[in-house]
Amino acid sequence: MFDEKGQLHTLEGVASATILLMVMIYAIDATSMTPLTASTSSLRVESELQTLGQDIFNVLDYSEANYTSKLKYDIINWNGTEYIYDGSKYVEVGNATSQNNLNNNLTNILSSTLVKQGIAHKVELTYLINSNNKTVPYTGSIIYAGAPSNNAVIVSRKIVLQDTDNVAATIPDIDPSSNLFNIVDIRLVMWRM
Amino acid sequence: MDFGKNTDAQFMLLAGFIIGTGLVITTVMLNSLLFEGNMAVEAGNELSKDEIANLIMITQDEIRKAYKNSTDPGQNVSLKFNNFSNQMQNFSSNLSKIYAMYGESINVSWDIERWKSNQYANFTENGMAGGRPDWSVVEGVNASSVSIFRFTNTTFSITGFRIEARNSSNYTVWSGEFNSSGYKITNTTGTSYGNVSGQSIDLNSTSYYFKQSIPPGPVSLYFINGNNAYGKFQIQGTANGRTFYRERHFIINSTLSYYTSRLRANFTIPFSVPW
Repeated sequence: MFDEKGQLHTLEGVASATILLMVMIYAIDATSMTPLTASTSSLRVESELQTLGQDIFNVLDYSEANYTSKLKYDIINWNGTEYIYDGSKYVEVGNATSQNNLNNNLTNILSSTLVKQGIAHKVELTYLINSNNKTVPYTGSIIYAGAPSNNAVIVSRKIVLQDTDNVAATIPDIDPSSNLFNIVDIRLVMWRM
Repeated sequence: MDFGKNTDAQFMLLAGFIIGTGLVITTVMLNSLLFEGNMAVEAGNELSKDEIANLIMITQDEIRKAYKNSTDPGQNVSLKFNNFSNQMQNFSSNLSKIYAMYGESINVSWDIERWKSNQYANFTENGMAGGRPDWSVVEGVNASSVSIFRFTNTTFSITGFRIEARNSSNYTVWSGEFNSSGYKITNTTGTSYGNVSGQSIDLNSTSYYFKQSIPPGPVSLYFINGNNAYGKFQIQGTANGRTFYRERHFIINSTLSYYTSRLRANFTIPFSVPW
């Protein structure tokens, strides 16, 4: 009745359970870092990616007076096709054997920055279309790379197109009454694999 | 003593272990609490400096394009203000649809009163009377390639406005000083004076020795005391192997209003046109 063994066994059980729980938490934390896992270190990674992405757009979107920026030039000449990186070049989605690879200012800088650092990326373009007498945003994909991770970083740049820019047929003229052609929002989504 | 039945030491060890584990868990939880508590909640929804710069840049581009489209040769002069406002109105309404995707609202307004009343821009860096008076207009210019170097509708104060062409050693190889009574040209061969006839000055004409007296090699063109002059200027030529354009007529103020559920910002910026 007054034996302390039961109390001792209970405490020992609690201690054992705590040790087991801590070991399990440690083991799970140590082994389950997948591309989709959020972690405290991702804050720094996200900040770095944000800066890198903005720098890419800053470089591409600079132009002297009366000149077209490299980024705008690429958007003007985009033919609506979606591309994917195959390990060496950006090939057409669903038609990898085609020789119509994407090779422009954007892919040149992506190849020398994000690809070299193993950073997964996709590029989307949102522009306005007239639908049922309303002007609404429409999003198309220029470079596809699957679903991004939870820690993906998005940087965007808005660019205004004019009638005089001779835009390829993919993007419509939303305002034929004036020289304004369309407004596009190009988004670069980046994440660490 | 019965060492076989005494469990006091075992209890003490266990208690120590449990207290230690409890302290570790408490510290980790407290650390998490402090970390989360100091996180900037929804900081990502605020307008970043890059987004502000992008918004200003596209507004500037659109104002300049709208001005150019409405004043290009062949356009109806009497409709230039209406055409400009129509294009800007379309820009503002469509831009708000793009920003709406992010839960943000944007409104662009503009003031063309200076343009309507022919109040030309100052020759300061930003075109305003209080702008930086001494500034570099263009660098790396091949002086012999300058095809247009013209001032029109200009007014100079009595204290004068100066243009300098400096070589790569920052030595002034040519300068022109203009004030309300005339001009003074200084170059490597000497100094000459003259009167400004009318309100138009073509620095490419022989009177000003601009092309004739600048030795080969790139020069930078500087405006000095730009607050002492206003009017239109136009410079065109080759700099660093590329054609450059510098032209300014008026200043158009634009106010950008940006709203989210948590933030409201208004900023007014002077934009020079056409470039």
